Amino acid sequence: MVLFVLRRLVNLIPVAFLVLIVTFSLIHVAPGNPAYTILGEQASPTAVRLLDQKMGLNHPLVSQFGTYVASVLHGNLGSSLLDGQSVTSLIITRLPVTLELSVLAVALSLLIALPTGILAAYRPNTWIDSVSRLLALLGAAIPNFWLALLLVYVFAVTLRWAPSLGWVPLNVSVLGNLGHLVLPTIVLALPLVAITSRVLRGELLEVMHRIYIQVARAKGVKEWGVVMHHGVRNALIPVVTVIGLQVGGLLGGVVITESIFSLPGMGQLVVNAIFNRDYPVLQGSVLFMALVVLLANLAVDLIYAWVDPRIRYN
Amino acid sequence: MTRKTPLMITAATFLAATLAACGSSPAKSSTAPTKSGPVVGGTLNVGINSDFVTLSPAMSSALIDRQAFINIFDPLLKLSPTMQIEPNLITHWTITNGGTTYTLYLRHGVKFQDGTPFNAAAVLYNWHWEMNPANASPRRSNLALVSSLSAPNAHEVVVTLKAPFAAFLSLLAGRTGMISSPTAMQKWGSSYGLHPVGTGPFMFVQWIKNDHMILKRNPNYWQKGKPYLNKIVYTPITSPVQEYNALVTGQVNIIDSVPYQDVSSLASNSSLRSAQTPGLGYVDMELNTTVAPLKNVHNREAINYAINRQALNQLLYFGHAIPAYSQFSPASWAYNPNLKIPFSDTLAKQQLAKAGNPNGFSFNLLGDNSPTTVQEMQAIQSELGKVGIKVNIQPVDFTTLLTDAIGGNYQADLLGWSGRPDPDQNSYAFDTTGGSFNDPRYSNSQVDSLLLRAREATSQSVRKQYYNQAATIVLHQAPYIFLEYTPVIQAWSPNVHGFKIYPDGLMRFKNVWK
Repeated sequence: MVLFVLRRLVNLIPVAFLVLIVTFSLIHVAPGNPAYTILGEQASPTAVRLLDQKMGLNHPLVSQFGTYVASVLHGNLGSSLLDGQSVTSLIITRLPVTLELSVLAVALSLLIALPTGILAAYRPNTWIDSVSRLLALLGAAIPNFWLALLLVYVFAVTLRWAPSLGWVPLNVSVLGNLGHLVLPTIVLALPLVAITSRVLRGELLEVMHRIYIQVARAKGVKEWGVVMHHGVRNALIPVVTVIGLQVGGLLGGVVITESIFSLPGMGQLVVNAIFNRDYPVLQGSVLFMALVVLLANLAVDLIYAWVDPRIRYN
Repeated sequence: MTRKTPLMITAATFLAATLAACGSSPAKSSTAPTKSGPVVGGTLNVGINSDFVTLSPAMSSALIDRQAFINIFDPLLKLSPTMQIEPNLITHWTITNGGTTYTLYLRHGVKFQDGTPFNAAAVLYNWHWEMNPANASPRRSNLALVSSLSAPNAHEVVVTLKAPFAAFLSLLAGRTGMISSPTAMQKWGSSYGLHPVGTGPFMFVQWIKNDHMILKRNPNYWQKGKPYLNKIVYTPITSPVQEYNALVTGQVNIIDSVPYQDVSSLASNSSLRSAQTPGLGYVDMELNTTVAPLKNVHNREAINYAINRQALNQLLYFGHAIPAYSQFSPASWAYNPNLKIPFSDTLAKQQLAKAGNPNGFSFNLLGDNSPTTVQEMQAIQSELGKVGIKVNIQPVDFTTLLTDAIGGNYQADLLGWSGRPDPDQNSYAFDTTGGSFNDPRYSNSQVDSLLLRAREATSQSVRKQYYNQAATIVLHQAPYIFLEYTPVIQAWSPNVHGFKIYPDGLMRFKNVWK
């Protein structure tokens, strides 16, 4: 088990390196230059050249990449071209917002998806199933920026139940913190609900027709036990897979949700870094997010073993 | 020196004022006016449409930064609501040697917020820093005409220019005139932009990017008794709808801009106050005059005639903008309301025939990828399509747009200019041969000489004549297609008092109380 985890962690290195190469190339292929962001409309060719020199952007790309990788290997993600703040500290200040939002969104999605998925599978083609299908359809089809504005209009502007935007840190006020996250969490959770509940329904429907379910019933196990212990547990593997895969999508959704709700998280950091061509900040945050996705997949593999005792990693 | 610049405050303000005077609706007794004077204390929550980029005036090029600067830094000269230059940290000045020597007399007894004395040495330190090429300051081009700086005594600065430059004083009311504490600049070095220290009414406390920026009252502000507010909290809200929502729900007390579609509902909302004034800026298309097909002046003029500016105004600005025909907005003393060209498909087609392509031509139009700009590009596309001109829309991000526009790597683009108080700042670098903002690479010796004479003349009426002549030529040669003068529209809650709207859109909070 330990060996398995170690091996997987070592495998992260080439993938991370690949991520570095791709991000580095993409941002440099994109037209534009951070000097223009800093100098604005006043950018004269001389001023741009001088600033490029100051930021080290006049060196050949390969040598810039080499310098960057060397500093990353020393644990230094560099610093922002715009204000000199260290990328590591920028990520550390942004992480709690995104982390809390993502965890809450996954939790909320499970809270809705598990019961609706189970009920829909247990009573297929009834009104419960139809409602759950409609919910899933809406969750998958509604663009999150539209849903965000709709929720704000109804619950913040009209009913005044929740704040329309902004962020209060947990250590300042727990209630304020949660209050500000209610709407963004719903926006982020709904697409997750859709896919999780559908996958669970499909899988559970199939499992419930297996012989061991009939055996359990024949042995006189209570229906609740049949569904939860024999049914759901065996249907969970694909659900866990889907949730793991959603981590990537979740980080994408965070970018839009954070912008609309003015939350100071990783998503806003990345968006601004792209617009300002702040190369070190962008590379550092994308590398970090890629590692999060990779680690989430590793976690999914480990959860498999926990969900299904037949799976053993040696 | 009389200057006529009408500050138009719209029906919205009058309506709001009338409602307040009438005691508002009975349901909302709290909005009834309490006619007392300014109150010290309180926190003002301010919504701004994007986050600050840097808080160092010497390194700033983003428009939004100026919202913070105007309250942290007191400019050397200030602007009145009609954009007239007024004394501030410079109490008086003399202009000698045919307009090339400026002697500036500084206010006594002013200190920076960190206790450093504000004096001639501080001013010189800032300007020398900005002029040093190694620092890559966007202010450097503003000081390009300076040949020498000296300080005969602690409160006198003598600036010698290489040539007469009538707009020099106007620069001192902007970022070039916002002086930082030399102590703080030395202490923080390249991260000074995160720790600004000025002489203004409010001092910097904290900036958490994309979240908020806090200023607090400067207890040692040179103007005794000011400011009134204890604290200002700026929250960047990039979605215009959300910024407006934040005002409606009371999360912020004042916002720097209002979405055009909400302006009319705002006027009828008795629980909000608002004001509108023509801004200094405009939206325009830049046409690259060095590449075909827009190299041909008749093709450019065809575009000029074929665009229905009224329709664009109704469609995109809900009628709140003003059709533009020059670089001088109605907020500028150089504005000429009679300078315009008709909207006419017939005239456009005549120009196309003269250009030798009676059936039209096609070109690529570059613009930033914000929804508003894309909409405007689509409207232009459909307008020009009617006379056979095919427009290929290319939305890109703003940095790419700037890079391509400055580099001349484009056929046409849709940009805007936020505008500056002096007409020179809105025309010279844009229209003269080789000018630093001359993205269309336009060159006309007559325009060059008119604009040069305008910057060297001292009388405003003479300058206005030159600007008019130059603007007429530029309008008909069409290196730019001016589309709309954009208004400044700001709104606040009724508990905010003493706020005044300015054509430059900067929210000055020195006289505001809650």
